[in-house]
This record gives sequence, C-alpha cells and structure tokens, in this order.
Amino acid sequence: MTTNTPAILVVDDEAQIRRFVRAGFELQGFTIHDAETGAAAIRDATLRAHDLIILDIGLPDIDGAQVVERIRGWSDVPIIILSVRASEAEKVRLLELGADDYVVKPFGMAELLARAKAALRRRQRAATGEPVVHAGPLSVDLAARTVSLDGQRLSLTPKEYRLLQILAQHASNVVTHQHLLREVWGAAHIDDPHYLRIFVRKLRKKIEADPTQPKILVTELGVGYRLAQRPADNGPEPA
Amino acid sequence: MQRAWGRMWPEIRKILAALALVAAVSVIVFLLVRYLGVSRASVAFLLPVVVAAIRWGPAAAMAASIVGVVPMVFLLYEPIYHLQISDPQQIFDLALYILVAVVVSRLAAQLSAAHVRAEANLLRQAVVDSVSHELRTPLASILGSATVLEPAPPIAGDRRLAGLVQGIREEAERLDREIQMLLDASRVSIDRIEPKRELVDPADIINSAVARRRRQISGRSLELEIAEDLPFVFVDGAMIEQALIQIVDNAGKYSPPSSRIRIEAKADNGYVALAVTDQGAGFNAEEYRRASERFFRGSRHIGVSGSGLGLWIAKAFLVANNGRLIIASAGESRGTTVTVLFPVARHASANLAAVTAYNDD
Repeated sequence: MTTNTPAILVVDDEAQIRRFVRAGFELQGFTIHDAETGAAAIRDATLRAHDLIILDIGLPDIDGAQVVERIRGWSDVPIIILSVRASEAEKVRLLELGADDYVVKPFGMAELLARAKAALRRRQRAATGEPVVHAGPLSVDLAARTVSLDGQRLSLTPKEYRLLQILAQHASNVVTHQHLLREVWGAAHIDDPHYLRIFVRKLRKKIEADPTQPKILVTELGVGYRLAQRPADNGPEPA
Repeated sequence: MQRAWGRMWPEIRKILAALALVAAVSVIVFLLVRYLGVSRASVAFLLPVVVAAIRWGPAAAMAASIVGVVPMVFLLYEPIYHLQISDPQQIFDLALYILVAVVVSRLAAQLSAAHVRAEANLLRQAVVDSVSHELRTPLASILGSATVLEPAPPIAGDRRLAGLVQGIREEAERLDREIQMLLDASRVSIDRIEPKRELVDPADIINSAVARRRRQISGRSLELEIAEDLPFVFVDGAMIEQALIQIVDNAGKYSPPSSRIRIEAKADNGYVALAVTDQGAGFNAEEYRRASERFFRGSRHIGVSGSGLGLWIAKAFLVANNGRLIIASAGESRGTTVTVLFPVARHASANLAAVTAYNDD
C-alpha cells in the first residue's frame, strides 16, 4: 500500500456496474481505475501498482481464469472475483488459481466493501508484520502461536491450530477446502473432506458460543470456510 | 376447404415422396431380380420404409410399407407378373414384411421425436440462460446502485427518500429471487439437475439458508434448534440450501407476521431430518394431495404472490440428492411441518472416531 488512499482496479464489461462500484469505493476514499476487457486489465495492472483488483469473470475477450493466472505471474495483488450464482466449481477453480475471494452478482456494495477491506487488511498486515488477528472474541497470535477467546488462552491440538492459523492468515476471506486440506494434511489428502469436516467441528466447539450456529468460523457451501471478523463478513448478504 | 388442403399438403407431399421411392425400388428390383434372387429382392422393399420413416415420418413409412406389398407380389411371387398369392408361405412372408416395416417405422419415429425433444431442450436451456443473463445484468446495476445510495447521508437523512431507495433494493432482491426460481424450474423441467455431491455438515446447510433469508422472514421470529454432532450427509450443499430456502420462504409466506417459524435438525434412525414448522395456513386434504405439483396453488391463497413452483423445485432437488420431502399438517390454519430426510453418509460416521484419533498428534 503506497499511500493512505488505496488504489483499486475494477474490471467489468458493463459500464453501469463499473459506475456504481466506482461511486461506492470513491465515497469511502478509495482511488479507482477501471477497465472493460481482460486485455486492458492485464495491461493496466502492469502499468500501475494497485492495492486490489476486482475482476468480473465473464469478460468478453479473455477467460477470467486466464486473467488471474497472468496477473499472478508477476504480482500478488489481492484479487476479488465477481461471479454469477450456481458456479461453485468455477469459483473454486479461480480461488485455487490465486484469487483471494469472490462476491456473487447481484451484490450489495456493503458486501463488496467488506471483502475488499478484508483483502487490504491482509496485505497491510503482511507489510507491517502485525502478528495478531482478531475475529470477534477470538484472537490468534500468529507469531507466538497462541489463541485466546475473551482473553482466556485456549489449548488447541497442533492440527486444530494449523487449521485456525491458515484461516486467520486469510481472515475475512474465503479459504477453499482443497487449500486447507493441502496445507493441514498434505497433498495426499486433498480428496478427504471428511478430515476437514471433523476438525472444523472440533474447532467450533472450542471457539464458538454455539457450535451449531457458528459466527466466527463460517461455511461457504461448496467452496470453503471463512474466519468472519465482523457481522458483515458473516455469510452472504440476504439476496 | 382450401386451408385444410394447405395444411395437409406437406404431409401428402411426404407420402408421395415415399411412394415414388417404392416405385424406384420396384424398377430396380424388376431389372435385377434375376441376379439378386427372390429373398434378397424382398428385403430391398424394406429400404423405402426405413428411408421414409427417418426422413418423412411415420405416415409416409406406413404408406411405403403397405404400397410396397403390391410390387412385391407382382414381381417376386409365383406366378410372376400376377397380383396373386398361391402359397401359404408367401402370406407368412408378407405378414413378416409388414410387421418389420411397422416396427421400423415406429422406431424411426420415436428416434426422430427424441431428437426433436433434445434439440428443443437445448434451445430452451439456451434461451433461459440468455434471458437470465440479460435480466440479471441490469438487475445487478440497479441493486448495486441502490446499496451505494442507501447509506449516503443525503438519502439516509431523509426518511421518505430512504424509504424509496430501500424499496428499490428490496424489489430488486425480489426480482432476483424470481429469476433464480425460473432458472431452477427450467433446470428441473428439462431434467438437467446435476448435483455435485460431497460430504456436508447438515448444520452448515441450514445456517447458510437462514443467513440468506434472515431479512425476508424477519417479521416472524425464527427459532433454530440444531442437534450437536449431526452425522454428515452426502449431497450437493448449495442445491439443498436452495431447496430449504424454498421451504422457508413458503413458511414465511403462508403464516401471520408475528408467528414463529422453527427449524429443527436431528439424527433419526439412519437419517438426518431437517424440519421447518410454521404456525400458518396449513393444508386441507385437497391441498395436501396436490402440494408438490407444478404450478399448484391453494385457492385460499389468491392474495399471496407466488408461482406454485417452490415446493415442486424443492422436491426435485431433494430427490436428486437421495433425499425425501414429507409434508405434515393438522389442517387448515393449523400450521405446517415440512420435513426433509437424508440418509446418513455411511463411511463418515463409521470412521469418525478412528480419524480423530489417528490424525491428531
């Protein structure tokens, strides 16, 4: 992040969508650039240093996945995908290629802002080395490898901690099942969602007030999990 | 009279074409019968039937098979060049020929009808996809713009304006739900439900559905009771969520604003049962019988907006995931309980303890 007004590149072929996204972000003090094709987006991303890219995956010229791949070739700028509903497999594919999160069209500005701010916070945390991630009553100290709930230190098993650690590193953004399985259990277990379901349950029993109605470790059906930091992060906007 | 003739002309043309083909085959058989032999030559008369069935439909095929009998008898059967049958075996041959011709023409007709249907389905899917894209794109702009305006101080500070913008947003959300319903309905009606099944925690499905609908059922108090440690199920989570949303929407629509809606999930004898109970309109015997029919709407609910597709879609989605839907009501105005049942995913519960012990060091 170069200045205190973060710069965002908005890529969508619909002018009216670019317009309201621009207005929504500018009202919050962001600087916006926009592009209407994948080629223009890639060109723009090489010319300017953006703090975040918001990318519609239904572009007329280049497949969204290709745009993500190309940008990931040289840059780790956060990318948030705009997609239509009922394409869980497509979302997962793009997240696996390196996108940071997604928002389903049609969406409310509050939801997009929440996702964008989360991605920016993560970038800032990485830049400043801030080790503690807060999510409601939960704090995860990534440096000291400790977890506390309402100030009380929690005791987690190594795998429970590892799971929480990865979610905390991506706090407020979604992490796919595949990513979690690979990072916690290794590539050999990428097709064993079973482990993940059980450990998520164990973890919820330790960190949630009501483990059957989680507010911190929330599920994105068919995609993955999210460590919700504030109520706006908690599940999709009603739509 | 003229118009009836005009309507029939294409059909007649096809029959004439089939008869011309029979004539052509007859000439060829007449010329070649010496070299072919009688049995092979009679098989040649099946050719116009097959071609007519595939290209011109069952009526033309039937005409070709019946008319084909004449040159067969005339050219091939002793006495040759007489329309006369002398041998009972020839009668048997002819009967066999007609039978084969009928079967072939029926099969060909079914094949071409299936082909037409498949093409119509593809076309319908393409239309629905493009309509939904064309509707959703402007809708996304309307909804997004409304949500930018809503919190802006000049709007939020004026109650009348705030109300208008809120109205725009809510109506856009409603349109989006209706479009989703149409899309789902079209997927169900052309049998294109392709669940991507995986191991899912049933509680996650309920929580996700409730998060999506909290605003719409906010007038009614919502009670959630999810048993701890529910067994996992093997389903397409997003699809079941959509089915559950339909059921919860119905519960909200057909119950008074101050009433309670209760969602309960528990394990039940090898099944996971998700039950949505409302204190609303309930079902009478007639409504109960027809509840999950497409487009069925109880005559008591004229004033409630709806298409009569909700339960029908929900049921199709559930069945595609090995689930079942059970409706129970004590009668009119006495509330409804819709229960969804899924078999427990087998390997999951059996190995749970082992995995837990093995995997954590």
